[in-house]
Formats: sequence, C-alpha cells, structure tokens
Amino acid sequence: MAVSAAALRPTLATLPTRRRWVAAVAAIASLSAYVVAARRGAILDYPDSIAHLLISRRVVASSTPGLAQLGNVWLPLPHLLTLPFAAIGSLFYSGLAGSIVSMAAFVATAVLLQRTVMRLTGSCGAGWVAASVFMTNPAVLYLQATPMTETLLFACVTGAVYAVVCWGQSGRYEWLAVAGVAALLGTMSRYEGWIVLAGLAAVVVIGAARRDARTTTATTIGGRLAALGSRGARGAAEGSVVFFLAIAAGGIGLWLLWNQVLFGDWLGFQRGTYAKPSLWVSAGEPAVGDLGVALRTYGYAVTGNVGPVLLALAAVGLVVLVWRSGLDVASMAVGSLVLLAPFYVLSLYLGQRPLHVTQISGDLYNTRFGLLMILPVAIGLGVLANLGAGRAWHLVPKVALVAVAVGSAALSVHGGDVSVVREAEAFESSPTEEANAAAASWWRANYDDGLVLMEGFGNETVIFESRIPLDRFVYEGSYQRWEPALTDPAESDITWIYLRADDEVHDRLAGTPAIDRYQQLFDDGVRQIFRLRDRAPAGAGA
Amino acid sequence: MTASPVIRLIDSSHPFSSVGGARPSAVETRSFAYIQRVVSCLMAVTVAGLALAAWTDQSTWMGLARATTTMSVGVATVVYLVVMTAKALVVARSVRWRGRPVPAVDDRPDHAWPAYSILVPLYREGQVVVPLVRSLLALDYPTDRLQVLLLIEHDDVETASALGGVDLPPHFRSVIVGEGGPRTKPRACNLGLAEVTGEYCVIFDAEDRPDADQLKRTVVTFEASPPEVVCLQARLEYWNPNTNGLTRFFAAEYAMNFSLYLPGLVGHGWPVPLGGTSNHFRTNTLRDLGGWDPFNVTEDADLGIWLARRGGRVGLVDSVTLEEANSQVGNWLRQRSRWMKGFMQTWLAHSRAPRRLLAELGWRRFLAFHLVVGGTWFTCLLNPVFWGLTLLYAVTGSDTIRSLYPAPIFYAGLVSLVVGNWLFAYTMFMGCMERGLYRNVKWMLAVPLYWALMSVAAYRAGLQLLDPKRQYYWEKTTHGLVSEPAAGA
Repeated sequence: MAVSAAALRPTLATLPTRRRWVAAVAAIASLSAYVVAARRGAILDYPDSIAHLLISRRVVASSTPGLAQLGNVWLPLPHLLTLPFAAIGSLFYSGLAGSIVSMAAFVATAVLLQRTVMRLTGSCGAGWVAASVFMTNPAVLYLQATPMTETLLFACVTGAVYAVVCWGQSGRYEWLAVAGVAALLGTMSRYEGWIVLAGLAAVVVIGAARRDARTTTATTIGGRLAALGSRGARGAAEGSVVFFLAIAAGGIGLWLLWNQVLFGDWLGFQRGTYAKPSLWVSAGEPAVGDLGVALRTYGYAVTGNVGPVLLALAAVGLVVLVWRSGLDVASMAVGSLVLLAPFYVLSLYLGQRPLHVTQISGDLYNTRFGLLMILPVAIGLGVLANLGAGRAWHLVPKVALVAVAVGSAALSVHGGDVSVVREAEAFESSPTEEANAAAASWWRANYDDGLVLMEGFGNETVIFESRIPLDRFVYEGSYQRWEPALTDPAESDITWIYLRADDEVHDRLAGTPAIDRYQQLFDDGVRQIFRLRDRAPAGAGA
Repeated sequence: MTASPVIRLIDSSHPFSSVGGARPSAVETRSFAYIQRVVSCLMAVTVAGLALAAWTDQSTWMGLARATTTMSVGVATVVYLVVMTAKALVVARSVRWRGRPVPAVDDRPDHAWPAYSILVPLYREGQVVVPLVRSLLALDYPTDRLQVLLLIEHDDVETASALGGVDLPPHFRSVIVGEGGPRTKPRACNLGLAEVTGEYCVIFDAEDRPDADQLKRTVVTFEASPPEVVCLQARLEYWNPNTNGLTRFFAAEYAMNFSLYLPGLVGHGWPVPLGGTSNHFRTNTLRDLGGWDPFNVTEDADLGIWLARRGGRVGLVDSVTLEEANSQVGNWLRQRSRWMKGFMQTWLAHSRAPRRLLAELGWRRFLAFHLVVGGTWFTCLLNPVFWGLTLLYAVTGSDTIRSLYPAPIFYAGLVSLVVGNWLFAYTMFMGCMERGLYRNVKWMLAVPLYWALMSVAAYRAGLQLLDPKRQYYWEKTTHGLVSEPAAGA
C-alpha cells in the first residue's frame, strides 16, 4: 500500500486536468441546489444575506450613493462583486444578485480543490474525491445558493493554498504572486481570510528558507539547522515573504486606511458603533472564558456541518499527508486552513464571536462557522482516497469515500439535520422575523412616496421587504443627512419615520416634540411607523 | 607586444546616409510636425490654465482654467490607466513566453561557425580597457571567424594610450573615428559598420562582460528563428547590484526590463526599443536598414522601432552580459537623462508622419509604440505634477483641487494611484525575485524615491531637447566607479 514520493510530487504535464468536467459537474450541482432552495423560498432566510444585498445596492442607489456605502463592518469584496447584479431590481429582490457570486465561487472552489489534491497526490481521481466531498455537502450547497459570503472565502483561500502548493513544488516565484492575489481577495471577503493569510505567510518563510538551505552540503542535523538560519536562507525567507505580502497584505492595509479616512478609526471594523462584538455576544455566553466549552462548541459546529464520519476519515487523510510529505510546503499550506479551528475556539473563548449549538446552548446561531473546516476535510479525504495508488484496487477507496460522502449528505438531508439550514429556517420563522414581515407588508401597501427616516442596522428585512426604493431612506450611512434628520425630521423633508424599540431613531425621537408633526399609522408594540401629518398625499399635486 | 592594425576613418559624408537607405532622423525633430505642435499647444494651455486657476480671481478666467485643467487631468488619468494596463499585459505575457524551449549550443567544427563581428565604441574608457579586452578574449568563438573592431575617437588620447599598452591578437583592430559630428556612439558604430565583415555583428559597451558562449548561443538561436527575426537581444544584468541603494533599484529595474518587459514585448510581437548593448544583428539587414541614427542619443531604441516598421522582428537570446550599475546619483542622472532624451527624440521622429507609422505598424503596434516609447518619458514628466496635487490636497484640502476631479475622473485616478503605483512597484519586486536578489526586495518598497529621480532625469532631458545647443548632446556616462572584484552580487 505504499505510495512513492514521486506520486506525491507529480509534474502537472503528466496529469490529465479534467478541469472543465469538474466545473461542469459543480455548475450542475450549484444550479440544482439553487432551484431547490428557491422553490422552498429559502434564498434569503438568513437576515445577513439581505444586509449584504442592501450594501451592494446602496452603492448605486441610495440617498447618498457612492463607495462609502460599503461601510466598515463587513469586508467589501462580496459587495463589490454583487454590485453590478444588485443594481438590477429583479436580481436584487430575488436575491439572485448575491447568489450568482456565491455560485460562481462554489464552482471555482470545486475546481481548485480538485487541482490542489491532484498536486498533492498525483491522482486525478483523488482530486475528484475532494471535489465531490465539497460538492455534496448539504450546508455548502445551501449557502452557495444564497448571498452569504462563505463560498467566496472558500474560493479565495483554496486558490491561495493551491498557488502556494504549486510554488512549493515548482519553485517559481510567479506562483507566490498568484497566491498573493488569491489571499488578497480572501482577506477582502471575510476576516477568516486574515488568519489563513498569516498561516500562509509563515509557510512561505519556512519554505523559502528550506529551499535555500537545501543547497547545503551538511549532513548532520546541526549543520542543516545552521544552514536554515544562514544569511542566505534568511534572505530568501525575507524576500519571498515580502514579495508575497506585498500583494496579499495590501487588502488589509487598504481596509485599515479606509476605516481611518472614512470613519476616523484604523480599527473601526472591530470597535466601531456597528461592529463591536458586544452587539452580538451576550453576557451569558457559555463559551466565554471557558476553553473546554469553546472547544466543544466549535467541535459540534464542525460535526454538525461535515458529519463525524467524514471528519474522522479526513483527519486520517491529513495525518497520512503529513506522514508522507514530512511537513513540506504543501502540507503546511493545507495546515493553514486547519488554523481556522483554533482561531474560532479562541474567538469564542474571548467573546469576540458568538456561536451557538443545540448541544451546549439549546439553539443554533452562526453554525456556518463550523463549515469552514470543509476545505481541509475535502483535501484530507482526497489524500486518503489515493491510498492504494498503483495497485489493482486503487479505485476502491475512491469509490468508497465518495459513497460515504453522498450517504452522509443524504442522511443529513433526509433527517433534516443540516444545522446551517435549520438555523436559517429558524431565523425566518422566528417571531421577530414574522413581525418584521408584517410591518414591511403593511408599509408596502401604504407607502406613498417621500423620504423615510429609519436606522438600517437591525431593520434590514423591513427595508428590503417593504420594497421602498433605497434612495428614499435616510439612515446612519446617509452622509451629512442622518444627524439633521434625527434632529428635525420635518425640516429635513422626512415624510416617514420608522422606530424600533431601542434603535437610535427611537432613542432620539420617541416622545420628543420633533415627532409631534407625524401621525402614528402602525404600531405592533415594538415597531412604529409614522407619517408626516400636513404633507399632501402623493398624486394630489404640488 | 603585437601592434594591432589601425584603420582611420574620416567622416567625409553624412554617416547616416552613407550606410544605407534614407529615413527620418532625430535631427529632423527640430521642425515639429503638425500633430506635435497641437500636442505642445494643448500642454501649454494646460499649464496656463493651472497657473490661472492658482493666481487669478476673475470667475470667468477661473471657469475656463478649471475646465481646461479638469480636461487635462482626465486625459492624463486615461493615459496612466492605459500605460498601466499595457504594462500588466506585457509582464503577464512574459511569464508564458519564458517557458519556450531554448536551442542548445552544438559542437560543430570551428570552420562551420559563421563569421562574426564585434563593434566596441570607446570614448575616454582608459580605465576599463584591460578588463574589456580580457572579457572579449574569453569569448568562446573561433578567432579566425571573429572580428573585433574597437572604435576610438580621433582625439581620445586616454583610450588610445591604454590600448597601446595591451597586447591585442590579430582579430582585434582599432578603428580611429575621424573628425565630424555629431560626436555620438551611433556615428562611430555607423563608421565601424562599413568595416564589418561578419555575417552577424554585435555591439558591446566598454564595461560589458558577455557570457563566454554568447556568440555561439546567438548563432544557434538565429538559425532556429524565422528569417524575419533580424536582431537578438541578450539579457543585461549588473554585476554590482548591492553597491548602494541606487544600484539596488537600478539592478531590479534592469532585471525587470530584460527578464519580464522585453520578453513580454517580444511575446506580443510589439516594437522593442533595443537595449544599448549586446544586440546582435544579421549584418546585411542592418546595412539595408541604414545603420543607426547618429543624432539619436538612444540610437538602439530608435533602431528597434525601425526594425518593426520594416517588418523585422526582435528576438531574445538566452545569454547574459554583465555591466556595471551606475552607483553615483549625478552620473546616473546624466545617463538616465540621455536615455529619456533619446526616447523623446525617437517618439518625435517616428510621430512626424503618424499615418505612415500606422500603416507600417498596424494599429496594435502603433499603440504599443506610443505606450512603450512615449509613455516612458510622458509618465515621468506627469508624475511630479500629480504627486504635487495629491500632497497639496492632503495638506490643504483645497476645494480647487477637488473640483478638478469629478466622480469618474476621481475613481479612475484612485485606481491609477493605488493599483498603478502598486503594479509598477511590484514589477520591481519581480525583478529582484527574478535575479534571486531576495534581500533587495524590501528596498523596493521605497521605489517612489527612484521614480522621483527618473522624473528629474525626464525634466532634464526635456530641457536639453529644447536647447538647440544640447539637443543631440551625448552625455558621457563614467564607467569603472566600482572595481569588479570588490563588488558583491
């Protein structure tokens, strides 16, 4: 059952690529999943998916349009990519504007996973196994049908890992530039990309130093270690990592600059009004300050998305990879994806991110964080599938692993046990969302033009479902119009005011004389909608 | 000690027409063509508009000045974006081009190698004569098939004396270039070309250290190339990249130019401004083409464009010639301003008849010519203006400056500022990686300082071009500032 080192480091010229076939199969899977999710009305179940769409469209259609509408909470790439589609009303309101980006990223990820595993194993079939594991995962299939940003991150970091693997095997510095571009895009998609970047930078340092030290004639361990710390090795490491980071870290640098220039705080994305963790992490989070609970929480989130059997088999595959490759650049690059697990555990422990699983807190929240492990899992299973390479029975593990992946997916779907989907459905059917839908529905029927004063944060679904044109809203992102409108809405030509208990409009206007000129038309105890009393109704003439 | 044969060549006629077909020369750039006058007027109006915007309070003048300046800013931004895109396309193409197979040198008998001539123009190069001769003697080529012509100005006592003390073999000849003008390297080369007997010929500079097998590699590459490839450019590298900060930038720039930029241009089939030295020609074609323009101070770049106009192509030979990187700022500025002036002369000379140029090159290569030759000095002239505007706005927050940037120009300018500057800097990073100069990569973060020097050189070149006395003046670059053995790579 031995696989030669040569099989682990093939020349690509000898490999059949089959890229188009992977892309075609992934595209079919993607479209099928989209149709299923759309028919179930589940494309926009996650409130965040609506918020992403709103950000994109506001850049071109808002009371103060422009790139500043990208804000400083979420990273900008998903919104920039969605922008051309979100500008089209039908694509925007159906959610397809964001889904297009996610679906394209899903296809790219499948292709890149297959190619990465081909590079690692020399086996096209093993690459197919990795791609299949990814393409059959129900949680991935659901998220790629929505405007959520996870699949875009998947594509970017897989691309970065693939390019670093290619650099490690070929030594051509151009691959570092490619890795830098992919990592740059990853760091501009989701903050997890920053962690992967840090991991890959470390891989580049070690890999470049090792490459230079390889020329040493020393045979002793001491001699080799000395070569690793030699001036030449240090220079190679320094030059390579600067070359890599000159692209890869550019996005982070620009994001910090953006935060400073537009919002006056380099770290506004972390501690700004709408970004600080206290907005999401409640005081009683069980994982905060308890490393064991944090660890178990993340573990449950991973198994809830990937399944325990595949997770265990993938762990074996990754051990095989490290065992055979001896912690070379390729296996370390894959390791940078695993780095996200301790990052999340630490985030939960420090109270930076909320994550709820039923086994710990009885509910589901942000369980998709666990889905990020699908990438190392797919690669691990791809490597495992290559066991038996060169033997008559080499197809057996490949077929078996694909069967396990498909079976695991079928069982999850059949049992309604896909935590990401369950969480999204729970959001959609929650009393809060039902009340939001009722308010939006009333407003949609009664809105008769005029500017609306309303806080965007927390009210995204009402804004979206009311179908009121976005350029009618004055919200916290309306440059130089928000404060005057909060001070004196009537003087600021505001016709409609929406208050939600404890939002900023409520805090500033409820019970003040400024709102006396408005008539309350809707009140469900939490949400109130006011309309200017003395404004002529639409169509009454000037 | 053997006395080498000496030939004295007197400049009795116009050297440019003496060796071949007539074509427009840089000397004719004195009389600007119509299009050049229009461009000059536009630039003058822009400058005037900017001055008015700054100093005049009258609203009508202000309006006119602002409109003119905004239009100019918009045009400049588009130029930046186009140059940036072209550079990205060229560098991207080079990555693929470099993967091509390279013909290997065979072991044919000596008499089967074609006759080869080497032209070495020398002027006040007494310091480097000995190492030059040593490196030429190290060339692996049958001496009975080789002709080395050392071209010396008639009044260059320094070089002549130094050569007098060197034992030269029979295939070396000193050629004394007689009186006449202009006193430039291409004039000397043209006179030398009349003496060339080889099927192929090459120009080497005094400080050059070509790979020993460069001539043989060139021959096999010519033989493997289609007949329209009439010139092969060898890769130039510096042997002293780490002398100081200036040489670090210079070495990275050269590595980028010869390893990424030229291969990209060749890969696209675009006109290639040849690189001064180590360009190997099919002699007959060079003669048919008329040799070099003696008035152009980058005669090689000009020749590269003429090759393209006449349907010829430039290829690259996988061989290196080592040179000395200029390590003194003043000396560097003299050299670079000559290069800039030469590119300006080349652009002006070829732009005199734009329709003819378009017909000869086709629209792609026509555009490429303007970007490669014109874009080089034009962006260097523009850079300080836009750096100044950016700095001024950052300090003062001036509404006047803001008004010059309507939204489309602002966003395009932003892309140009961030992506363009980064892209140009990154090609320098790639140059370092290409040559394995890992420790110099971090230095490239400060490359805007080098760009500032390039802009100084561009303005110096522009002023010289406007000065009738210095229009064709060849600024001498001093070599031998760093002794070769002491320079670490």
